[in-house]
Amino acid sequence: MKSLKETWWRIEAIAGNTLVEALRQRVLNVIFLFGLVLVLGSLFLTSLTFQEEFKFLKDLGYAAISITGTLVALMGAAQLIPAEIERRTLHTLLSKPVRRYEFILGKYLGLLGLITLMLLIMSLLFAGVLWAKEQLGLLGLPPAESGEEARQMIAAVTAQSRDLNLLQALVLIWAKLAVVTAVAVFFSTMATSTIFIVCTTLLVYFVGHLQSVAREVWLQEIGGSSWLKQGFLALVAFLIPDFQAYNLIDEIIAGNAPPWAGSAELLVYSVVYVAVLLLVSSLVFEDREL
Amino acid sequence: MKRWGRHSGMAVLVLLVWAGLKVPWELRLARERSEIMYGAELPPMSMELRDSLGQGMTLAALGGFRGVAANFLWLSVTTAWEEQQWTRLRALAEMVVLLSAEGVFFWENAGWHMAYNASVSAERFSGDAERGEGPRMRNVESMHWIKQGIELYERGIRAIPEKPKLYEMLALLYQQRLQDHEKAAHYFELASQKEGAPVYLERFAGFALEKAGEREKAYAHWVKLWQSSEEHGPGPRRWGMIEERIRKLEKN
Amino acid sequence: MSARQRLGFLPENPYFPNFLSGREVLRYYGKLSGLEGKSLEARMEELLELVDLQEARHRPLKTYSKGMLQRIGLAQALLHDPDLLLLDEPTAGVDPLGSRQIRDIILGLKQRGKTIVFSSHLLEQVQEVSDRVAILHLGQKLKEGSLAELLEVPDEFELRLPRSGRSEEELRKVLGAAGWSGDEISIRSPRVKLEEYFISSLPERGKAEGRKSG
Repeated sequence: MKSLKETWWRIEAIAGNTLVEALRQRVLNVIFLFGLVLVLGSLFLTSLTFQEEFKFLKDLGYAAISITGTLVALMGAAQLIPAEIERRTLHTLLSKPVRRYEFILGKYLGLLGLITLMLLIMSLLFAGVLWAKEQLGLLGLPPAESGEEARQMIAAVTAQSRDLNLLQALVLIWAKLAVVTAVAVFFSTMATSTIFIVCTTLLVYFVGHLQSVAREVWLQEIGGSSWLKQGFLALVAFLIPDFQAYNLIDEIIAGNAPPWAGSAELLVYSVVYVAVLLLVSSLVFEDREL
Repeated sequence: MKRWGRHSGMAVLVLLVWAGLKVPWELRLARERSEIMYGAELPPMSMELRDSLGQGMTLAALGGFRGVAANFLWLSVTTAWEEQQWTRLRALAEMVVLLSAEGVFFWENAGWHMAYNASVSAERFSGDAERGEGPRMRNVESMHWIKQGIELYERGIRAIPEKPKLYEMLALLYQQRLQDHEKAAHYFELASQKEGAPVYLERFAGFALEKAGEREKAYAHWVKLWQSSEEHGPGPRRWGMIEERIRKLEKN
Repeated sequence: MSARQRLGFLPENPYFPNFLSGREVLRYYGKLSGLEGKSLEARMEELLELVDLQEARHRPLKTYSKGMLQRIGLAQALLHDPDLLLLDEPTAGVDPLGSRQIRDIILGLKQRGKTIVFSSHLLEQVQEVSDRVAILHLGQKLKEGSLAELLEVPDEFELRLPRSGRSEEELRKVLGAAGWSGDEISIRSPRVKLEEYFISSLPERGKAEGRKSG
């Protein structure tokens, strides 16, 4: 029990150090600033109808949050882990009673902390933007006391701005980013080139959005087409995460409220996927010559 | 520490076990997702797979900016409307709904542009009066856009079957543009059964049946509405009006 | 793992997260060594004093000189109070004042009963601080033993006397009378070491600054 606790201390220390290092990285801060500007900028989108404006606002806000998050996850993992090896800080680190898997877990949790922090800040800003838009929208409406019609119009505005399901979308964006980060960590245990890690992770990201298609074709054509094609499709289906599953996010932002149970299962899927990727990363890293 | 040691072997083993577990799980998630997106009636993943590969590629490349791209394209749709360029509008609308099929807004407005704006504009189109083309051409052109509207609404309904809005739009289209009250009644009825549907839709279905001359069906509809509740006090369901319809139909 | 608990290690050219300050590095490595809370803070203060970095404790490591980095490296190797200290080239690339400071720290640790094993190719320094040495060449251990065993020339004497106003001739005469022949005797004035000369020739102020920038 005691050693488990000490393991956790060490992981925590490495995670904390990773977070501090990331917060002092210029690239990551610039990306983050860009995201904040984009979220804030969505407030100034003006369009034809009120309905359009709210839709555009939500789309842009969530795009800003998820793109910024993806870039931070990607650049964070691709910079910080190879840096430890190249600057040889890892050697000093491993001269302490630190196991390699503790290093991997610490790095991952530090990055996840960074992403969580950034998502929270951007979401708060986005909530502020939604609130401002709501107030602007209500300005043009008659007061609620003036009758049923006014109440309905006000309800229509607040239904758009105070949609609690948006939280669900946020949780799923977080889950998706957690998986992307784990993929990047996995690749960074195999190579020290930042470009290699960014490229391979992006490749997995894109193929991941097509994985469900590959899987369906493969299941339909089992025994029916060439071995080469089937083998390739099966490889994609077996190795690549299904990022299409996170399309629930678009559904939620479009105003279709899926049940929380569906999101919860997706969350569990993400957590298990992350655990598997980190286990594999640790094992690969164990064999690596440093 | 060798390059490929004992641990790497274990890593491969873990990946193999996970591969076997993850594919069934992902299939389950996909089925649940398509139930949310398309309703339980449709078999999951019934789209043409090879077609969706190209689309999937585009969508994946746009990543999180998919919705934003659709929004900016939509601005061009509005411009095309202002310039009365209906064919261009149709093409742009197609791209928009490809990028963002999950929102009611684009389907609703794209269909409306076609069945109302474009087709009304075509009714004013004179054609070549000397060759006697005017009215016939008008009719053909106008019908063309109405059919485009119907198609967009129907596809929208397939994409988002659980929302009442597009059923209502389609019913209104049949009622107002084609005077097909029977179909209108059908879609009003469907719309009224969806969650969150405005209460007036159930009455619209009854009125549409009356207009279609289906007296017996209309009567049955009103009676069914009446019997759907124990309470018949004042309120949004307007029991007085329903009672009036029932009495009127009983009289004749 | 338990071996690593009793062992402190300073790698050659140690690399620390250079965005952290001296204190932060010690806290980070302290946590990794299983220390925490008040005992860690107290230990950090103690070590910062030992390696004479109290003044630079809040500066980020990227502003440290080579000697200061080696000293903070020594401090982190000592965090968990190991019995055995392994140092790989502790003074390589460090200026004379800095390496003298490191030598003093090593001697201080030796007095406290720590066992220190270090490698160096600055042989003069090795000679100054070591009890036992081993000579490695191409991965092979050639010689091992105490300095006295290895370096003593057993069949000769070395004398050191104050001049007291006498000449070399007088000394030779005395030794000749005792039976040593003239060509067996070599006499000269002793020299200070270059390092000592270097330090003594610095002005007082320079010494203090030299210490700071190490």
